[in-house]
Amino acid sequence: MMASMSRRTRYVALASGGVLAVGLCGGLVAYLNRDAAPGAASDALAELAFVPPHATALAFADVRAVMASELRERVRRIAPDGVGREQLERQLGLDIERDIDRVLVFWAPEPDAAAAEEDGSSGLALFRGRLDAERLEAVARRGGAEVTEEDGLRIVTREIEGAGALAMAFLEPGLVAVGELAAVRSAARRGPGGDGIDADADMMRLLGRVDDRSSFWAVGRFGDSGLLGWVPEQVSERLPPVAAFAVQGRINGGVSVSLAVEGRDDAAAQNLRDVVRGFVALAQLQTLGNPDLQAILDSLQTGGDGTAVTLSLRVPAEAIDFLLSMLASGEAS
Amino acid sequence: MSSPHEPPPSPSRPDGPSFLGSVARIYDLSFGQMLWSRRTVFMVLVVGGPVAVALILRLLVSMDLFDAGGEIDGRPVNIDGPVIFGLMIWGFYLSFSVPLLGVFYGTSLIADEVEDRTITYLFTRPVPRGAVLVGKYLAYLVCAGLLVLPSVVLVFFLVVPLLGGSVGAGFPDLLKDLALLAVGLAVYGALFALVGALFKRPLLTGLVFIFGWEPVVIVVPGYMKRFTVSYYLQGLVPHAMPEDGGVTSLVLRVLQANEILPSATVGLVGLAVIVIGGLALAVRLVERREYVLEQ
Amino acid sequence: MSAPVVAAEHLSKWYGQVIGLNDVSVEVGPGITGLLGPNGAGKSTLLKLVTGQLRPSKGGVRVLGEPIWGNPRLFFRLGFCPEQDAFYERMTGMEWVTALVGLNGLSEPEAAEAARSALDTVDLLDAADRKIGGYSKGMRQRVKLAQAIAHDPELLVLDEPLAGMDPIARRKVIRLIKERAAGGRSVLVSSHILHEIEAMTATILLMHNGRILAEGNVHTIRDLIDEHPHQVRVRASDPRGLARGLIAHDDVLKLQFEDGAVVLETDRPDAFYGRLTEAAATGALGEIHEVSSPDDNLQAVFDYLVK
Repeated sequence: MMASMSRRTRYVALASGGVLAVGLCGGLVAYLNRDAAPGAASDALAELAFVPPHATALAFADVRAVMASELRERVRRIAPDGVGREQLERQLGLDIERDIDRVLVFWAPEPDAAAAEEDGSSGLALFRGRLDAERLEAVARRGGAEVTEEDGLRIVTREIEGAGALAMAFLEPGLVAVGELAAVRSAARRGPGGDGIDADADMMRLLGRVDDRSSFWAVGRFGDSGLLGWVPEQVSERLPPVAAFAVQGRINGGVSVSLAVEGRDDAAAQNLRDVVRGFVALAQLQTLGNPDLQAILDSLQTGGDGTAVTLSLRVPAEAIDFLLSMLASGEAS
Repeated sequence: MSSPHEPPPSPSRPDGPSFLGSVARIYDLSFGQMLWSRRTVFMVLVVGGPVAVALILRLLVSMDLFDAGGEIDGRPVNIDGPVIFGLMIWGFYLSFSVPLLGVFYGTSLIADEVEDRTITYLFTRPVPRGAVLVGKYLAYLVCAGLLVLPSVVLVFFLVVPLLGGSVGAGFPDLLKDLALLAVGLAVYGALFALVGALFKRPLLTGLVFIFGWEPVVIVVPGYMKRFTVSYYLQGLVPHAMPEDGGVTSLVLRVLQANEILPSATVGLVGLAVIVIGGLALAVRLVERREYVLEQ
Repeated sequence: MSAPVVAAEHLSKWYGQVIGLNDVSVEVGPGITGLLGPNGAGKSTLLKLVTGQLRPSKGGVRVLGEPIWGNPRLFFRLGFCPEQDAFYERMTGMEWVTALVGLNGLSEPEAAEAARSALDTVDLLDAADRKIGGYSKGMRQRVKLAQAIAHDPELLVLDEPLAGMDPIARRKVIRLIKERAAGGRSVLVSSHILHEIEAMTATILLMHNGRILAEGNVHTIRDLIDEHPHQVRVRASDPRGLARGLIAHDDVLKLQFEDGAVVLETDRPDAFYGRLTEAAATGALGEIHEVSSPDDNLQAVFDYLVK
């Protein structure tokens, strides 16, 4: 085909095709590499550096995506001023809709009891966004907080009755950590260069289950040093024999949620699948005559094999309208 | 001058080239002509515009002069690279460049040769006139593709990584966008090839169609919108644009509110009908029409 | 008589209200046939109908025994050199002829070989790799002829092929046309200059106002033509020097100068053209770029004929 093309035409065609080919190859390489990295963790990678390797649960929310979603728009129709939005702005100087991009929360109970005594249990929330340190500090001071400086890090602390010392510190520009004082100190000491959760292969495997387009996700593991360590014994005894879980969801017009659970063994996983199916059957009976709720249940899919149990469902926009209208009428009454 | 004239070794083939063979040869002959036409210089500017915008945007972001937080209709929107890219595909390419390329090239497939009085050389060769049209249509498709698609790729790499976007995550969207634009070029090209074969002033007719008829009719409730290309093309849009992001969902909401989003299947079928029907009709018209050249 | 290469029966063509060709019935036999008539006589319309570019409004035309309209396969056997000076200017002569002859189904190497041979035949091989946009008028005429003969057609249709050529190129093209006829090919050639036609063939069709006025031997109208002075416009590097050389002979009746050219009137075109060709070949009277002939003289003959 190119035989009768002039040299100039051939060069242009080759250059143009070259740009296209190089772009597609580059994109493909980036796409494949992106697949090799853990899903949403890649998006929140900077924050993950502050998470210790022994963390047992992580939860993430893409606040901007949620706030920009149609779901939020529907909620806004029910609660035009936002749920607690003004209060948060008044107390902390934070407009959650505008200032926060994303939030990562983790729980990392200290396995060593003595150390736990020293550091306390380690729950921490990391907020990323357009945050004004001086303004937040000023608002906190007005609320009775104290500001101390430790190794160049300004920590705002306030005693909360019955909950101990609640601390807040800017770990880096645009990233604020809020949690127990010990957890904040621990995160600050660890810093972005320290051993983070990426050193924990087990947790990274769970993170790998998460799609990076998820609007929110949470992963956790149960075990001797895991969640069961802090879950009250009465509760843990009633929990199904679950080893780990990964839940993720996308929010747009509706909500899509998927849950992957790892049973402790095949029998436990089968037991879980049976429980879920039973629950679905029961729910279908309960929702007969309500097409919106039926639509949700119809979208529910269970699966998995071996020790894995998967569950996914999609709540369409119409069903959300229905649920919100139920909520609204409940509040009105 | 040699004499006597010696016939070439294999002067002609009574069986001749097939229709597709003729199409390929006309394509071969026309591609270079099309690529170096004055029209292409203009079109380079049209598709270069988004690249320039992308460069400026990148500069603004690097200088911290671009605010990622935005608000449309009182609603916060999550503006990041992929969303900007999606908007550029929709606003720059799908709504402007692609229809414009279709009009300028599609209407001129035969008209240019008639105007230049070179059509005689093609119509006095043993190739069906339909093959001339189809060969030129393919040359247009490749020529326009070589203009538009690299421009899209450049914009993708300039814009998508901005404000936290990921090239890897956006790559499937790039593929869908490239496919969508290629489909757009094919559809508009076929439609305006028909317009070129049908009307005396095809360029004016085409411009009125894309900048007058389509934008107006598409938002008018009723069945008239089915007589636009964008109606069917937008049926593919939700599947080709990043699904996350407030701006995109807002755009889609506007489209949905105006009932201008057919299903992907309806979109694809509609587009296929336009391409096949448009080309078939244009071929028929060219086969039957006389071209009286100005002397 | 052998089978006609072109047969028109009650052939008419009109463009809206304007009649281009009016009820023409004619048979063109093998060999060279000249189509002679002033501008607007209907020559080009007839040739466009013969080459299938126009559809008859009435009647029909068959070429090499087949109807031509909507019959592209016939172009394997037909070559056409149009009148208009139109090209793909950015292509070289070689690229252009190769691409066009390639449309006849030849492979790339075959097409290139055919193009090379045709360009050699019209003496353009040296300029084959130059862009057509840079060709002189005469070279453009010749490359047009090359594309028409490259596939060695049975019938060659030429619309004013000598227009704008210098005397030497004219002589070579006339010789080429005659050689094709000698090789068993047929040629239908139009011109508004009797002298050109006469140099190629004695068989002519006289056209006027969309009709065939006469057909047969050129000598029957020759005497009529000679009674009317013949105008020749010669574009040359030194028009005044050229005029000085030509005015010495008594067949040149008068002359007048235009920008870069001289227009001469002669009552013996044969002798005049012979001398002009010789002058061009020797360069004795300077360089001669282009020779053309207004058709006023022929128009006068036709006006006389139709009285």
